[in-house]
Amino acid sequence: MKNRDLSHLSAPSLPSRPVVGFMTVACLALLLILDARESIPINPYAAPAPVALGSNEAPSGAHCTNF
Amino acid sequence: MQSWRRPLLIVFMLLLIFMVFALAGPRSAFLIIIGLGFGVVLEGCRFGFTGPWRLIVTERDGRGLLAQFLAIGLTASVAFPLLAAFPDELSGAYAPVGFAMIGGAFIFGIAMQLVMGCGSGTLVNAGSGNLIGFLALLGFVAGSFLGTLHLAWWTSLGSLPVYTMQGILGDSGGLWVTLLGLVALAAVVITRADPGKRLPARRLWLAALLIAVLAVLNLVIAGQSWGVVYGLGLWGAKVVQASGIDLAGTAFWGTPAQATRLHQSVLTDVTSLTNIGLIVGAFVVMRWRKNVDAQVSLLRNHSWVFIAVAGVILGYSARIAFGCNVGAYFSGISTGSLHGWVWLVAAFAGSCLGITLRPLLLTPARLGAPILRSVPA
Repeated sequence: MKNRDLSHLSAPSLPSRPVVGFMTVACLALLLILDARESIPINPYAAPAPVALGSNEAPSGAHCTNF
Repeated sequence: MQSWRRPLLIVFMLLLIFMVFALAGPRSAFLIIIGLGFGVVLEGCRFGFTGPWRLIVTERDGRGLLAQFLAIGLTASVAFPLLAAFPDELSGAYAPVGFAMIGGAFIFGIAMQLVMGCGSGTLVNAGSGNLIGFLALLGFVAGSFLGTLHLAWWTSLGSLPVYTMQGILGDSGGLWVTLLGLVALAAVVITRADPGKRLPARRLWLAALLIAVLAVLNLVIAGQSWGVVYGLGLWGAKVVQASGIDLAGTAFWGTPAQATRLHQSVLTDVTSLTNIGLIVGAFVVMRWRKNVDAQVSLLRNHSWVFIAVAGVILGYSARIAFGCNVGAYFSGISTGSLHGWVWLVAAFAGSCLGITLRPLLLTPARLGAPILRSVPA
C-alpha cells in the first residue's frame, strides 16, 4: 500500500505535528543551552557509580515526593 | 528524505546518548536511554493514563486501565523485594497523605482531562507534536515551579506521617496487599466495562510489561522511582534564575540540597534526564511513522486560554500532591506508599469532574469536530 501522509487533515491554521514536535525539541535544546551557561560545569570525576544498586551509596536524586 | 528519516532518527538518539555520556557520565546516559524507552513505548504502543480514565467512565472501556494495573503490579512485584533487600541504596516514592496532597490530586485529575494528558502524557503529547500537549507542557513547567514556592505552606495545612505498606504490614504483607488491591480494582473495572471492552489489546500487554521493566531499571540505576514533576519544576526554576531572579530566599530552593541542584546541570538530575528522553522518544516515534497523525482540531480562542491555564494548574497541583500519575500513582503504589492509593482515589474523582467540564471549556471552531482522534484502548 502506498504511504499516505495524513498531515493534510490538520486544521489549516494549525501547525502540523512534525512542526510542533520540532518546536518541542527546539525548546529542550534551548533549555540545555541555557542550563550549560548557568550551571556549574559537570565534574566527570565526581560522577556517581553507573548503577545505584550495589554502589554502597544512598540515593541522592530529587523526586516529586520530596518536601 | 523519507528513506533517510529513520536512520537519521537513530543517529539523533545515539548522538543524544553519547552527548550525555560524555558530559555527565554513564549513569546519566543510562537514564536518558530509559527515558527514551518510556517515550518510545508510551507513544509507540499508545499506552496512556488519561485516556483510559476517561474511557472507563464514558465508554465503559476498561482495557487501558487494566493494562495500567498490570504495569503497576509487575513493577511492585520486583520493586518491593529490591527495596527490602537494599534499603540503603534504593528509595521508593514515599510521601505523606495530607489535605493539600488530596486536594492537589483532585485538581490534577480535573486538569489532566482538560489538557488530555497527565504528567507523562503531556511530555509524550508535546514530543509527538500535539499542539495541546505543547501548550500544556509550557504551563506544566511554570506551574510545577510555582508549586515549589508554596509547597511548605500547603504542606503545613496538615498531613499525616509518611505511611508505607511495608511499614504497616511488613515487606511481604505489604506486597501482597498491594497486589490484592490492584486485583480488586481490576475486578471493579471488569465489572464496569462492557463485555467486548475488557481484554486489553496485545500492544497494551506488551506496553505494560515494557513499562514495568523500564520502571524497575529506573529504580535500580537511579536509586529512586520514576518521576516527572520534580524535573519540570527544576526547569522552570532554571529559567527564572537565568532571568536574574535570585531564588535563594525561597523556602524550597533556599535549602542546601535544592540550591545545589539548582546550580548543577540538568544532565545530572534524574527526573530531568528521563523527561528529556521521554519527549525525544515520543518525537522519534512520531517521525518514524509513515502516516503522521492528524493535528488536534482548531479550537475557539477561549479554549486555548483554558488549555494554557489548565497546564499551569496541572503542574502546580502535581507539585503540592507530591507527584502526578507517574510519581504518585504509578511509582507511589508500586513502591508501597499509602499516598499513591489516596492520590488515585482523589485524582479519579477529579478526572470524572474534568470529563464533564471538558466539552464546556474546550469547543472546536468547527461545530461537531472531534478535538482529538480517539485512540482505541
